[in-house]
Amino acid sequence: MSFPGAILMGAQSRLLPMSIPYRFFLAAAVFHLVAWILLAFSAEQVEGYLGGPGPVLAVIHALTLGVFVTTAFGASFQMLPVATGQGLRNFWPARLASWLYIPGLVVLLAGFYTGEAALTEGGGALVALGLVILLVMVGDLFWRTRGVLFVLRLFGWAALAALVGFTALGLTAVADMRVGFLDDRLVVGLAHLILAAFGFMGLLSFGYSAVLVPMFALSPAPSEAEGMASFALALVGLALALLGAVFSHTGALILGGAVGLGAVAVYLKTMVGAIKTGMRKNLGLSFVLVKVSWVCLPLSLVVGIVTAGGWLGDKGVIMFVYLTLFGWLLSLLLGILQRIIPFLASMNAGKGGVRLSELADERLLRVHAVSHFSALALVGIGIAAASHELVLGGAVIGAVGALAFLWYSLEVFRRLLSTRMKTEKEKDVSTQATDSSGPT
Amino acid sequence: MSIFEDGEMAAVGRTEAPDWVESVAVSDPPRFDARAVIATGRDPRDEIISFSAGISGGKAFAVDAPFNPVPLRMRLARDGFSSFGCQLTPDHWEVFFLLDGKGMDGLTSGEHLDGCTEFDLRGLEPPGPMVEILRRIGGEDPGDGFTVRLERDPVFLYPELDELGWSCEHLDAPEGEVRLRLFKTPGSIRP
Repeated sequence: MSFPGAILMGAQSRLLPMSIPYRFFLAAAVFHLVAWILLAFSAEQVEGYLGGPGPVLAVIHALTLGVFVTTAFGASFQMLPVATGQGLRNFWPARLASWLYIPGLVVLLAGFYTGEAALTEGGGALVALGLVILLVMVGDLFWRTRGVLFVLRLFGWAALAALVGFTALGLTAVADMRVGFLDDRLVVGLAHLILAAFGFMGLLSFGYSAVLVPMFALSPAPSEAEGMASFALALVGLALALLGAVFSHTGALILGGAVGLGAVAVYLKTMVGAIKTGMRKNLGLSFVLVKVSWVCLPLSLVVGIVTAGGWLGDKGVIMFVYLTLFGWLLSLLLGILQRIIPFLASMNAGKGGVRLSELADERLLRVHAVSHFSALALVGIGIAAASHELVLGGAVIGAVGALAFLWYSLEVFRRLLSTRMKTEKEKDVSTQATDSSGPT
Repeated sequence: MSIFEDGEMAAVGRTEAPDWVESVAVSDPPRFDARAVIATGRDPRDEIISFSAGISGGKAFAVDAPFNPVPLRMRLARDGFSSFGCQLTPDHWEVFFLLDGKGMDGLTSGEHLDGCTEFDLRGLEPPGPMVEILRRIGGEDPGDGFTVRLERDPVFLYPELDELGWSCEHLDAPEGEVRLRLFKTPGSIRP
């Protein structure tokens, strides 16, 4: 049996039902919009924010848990079984994770925004349960994988360890909202940020990039030695930064950032090499976002180092967080997401499938890209110039871009369903024609 | 039906039949119908190898199979068999084997077999196999098709293939291996 662009039996067994990855990807697109809207509402509070409940905390977590971790759920459940050749044992835990995590996150964000401890605790508990399922399912996949994707698994295991750490610290901070047992919330907050952004998301993105970027650029798998060098440096940098955060040791924080820059240098060398040697020269808008994220990553570390040295003051902290979350991680994940969403749709289309180029609406992506870069620049200048008007303007433009991205994601889904329905109709017509031409 | 029954070769490959094929085809050589064995769910490879052991030097035999049995042809090439295969219908390949001692000459993984080429991509890290396949399709002379041996289903390859106007089908393979035949989608106007 053969058919165009065949999705065959073995492959299908490792392809999740489409609803599983898509619920996470669509949720990420919705939380992306929520993050920009919340930022618009909290524009006046961005300046001087140093942690604690409130609208800015809701913005940060709409982005981190809402966009980044939700994308990690969908990408891990979908990509890892295919890349490792190990299927998920069951699909129901992935569905359960979505039922716990996504509504839990909505409650948690409401808790952060309003400062209501009960909402924060309830939402935090549900989110943590969802994360435990992610931990177990991805850990199980890595555990069963042998002899392949060594570098990805190294990054993956370390990312899972960071997940445990940032979840524990997050729950501790949530509990402290009611009880107030922490002597220094800022220490916990900084360690939580380092583990979540650079530990979990950073390591995971380094590991996944080693497969996804060559796959999109059509270049050979990157050198394992470079991957291991980047991993070792990242791990040492993280450990130093964490020690610096926990013991309020400026030297360790700065050294951690510097070693982290070394890890980034090796990582970027590998990624640029993959793009240069790749067969696909036109990587489209998605890689414009990815390349911008690669500029923001070292920039965020430099700003972090300078801020840790006390040369930028409180404004430096906000700029560091902004460059890390909006500049690096958001740009990177949106770039990858806009490639993955139509890709998975095309794979799930199966027999009589629809082509990639027919699924993606480039016009919406152009609107998103222009809005995203304008918003990044405006908010960044707004933070630097302490202008809440610029932050507000940037957030509104960001929300327009997020709306275009959400529309794009839904449009891919609509085109897929429409193609499926058309194929079914054609089948019915063909069956009826066969029946009517038969003997009577 | 044989490839020369109507006086016209129906081969889909690019390679012209070697001189020995016509004389072998008309001589009605011993024949092994692998389709019947495969239909029962068994792998006929060992039975065909045993069958080939009864063929003496200079003699030939034929195999009927539902696909081009490239791995078998390479295996028998090591025993000195030259081979030539021809697709008679979408589900029927007729392959002639001649024990002439030349089988291994130039017949290694990746060599042309009647226009069909096989590449062993096992051992490559993801996304290496997918990239290698697309590199060959995008190359100067990808031909009409080729087969690949892999360790995993290249799921992410399928949308790319479709985009390029190519298709694929699964071939029978031992456990832990995936074999695909890749070919230009009939009627595709894509490059």
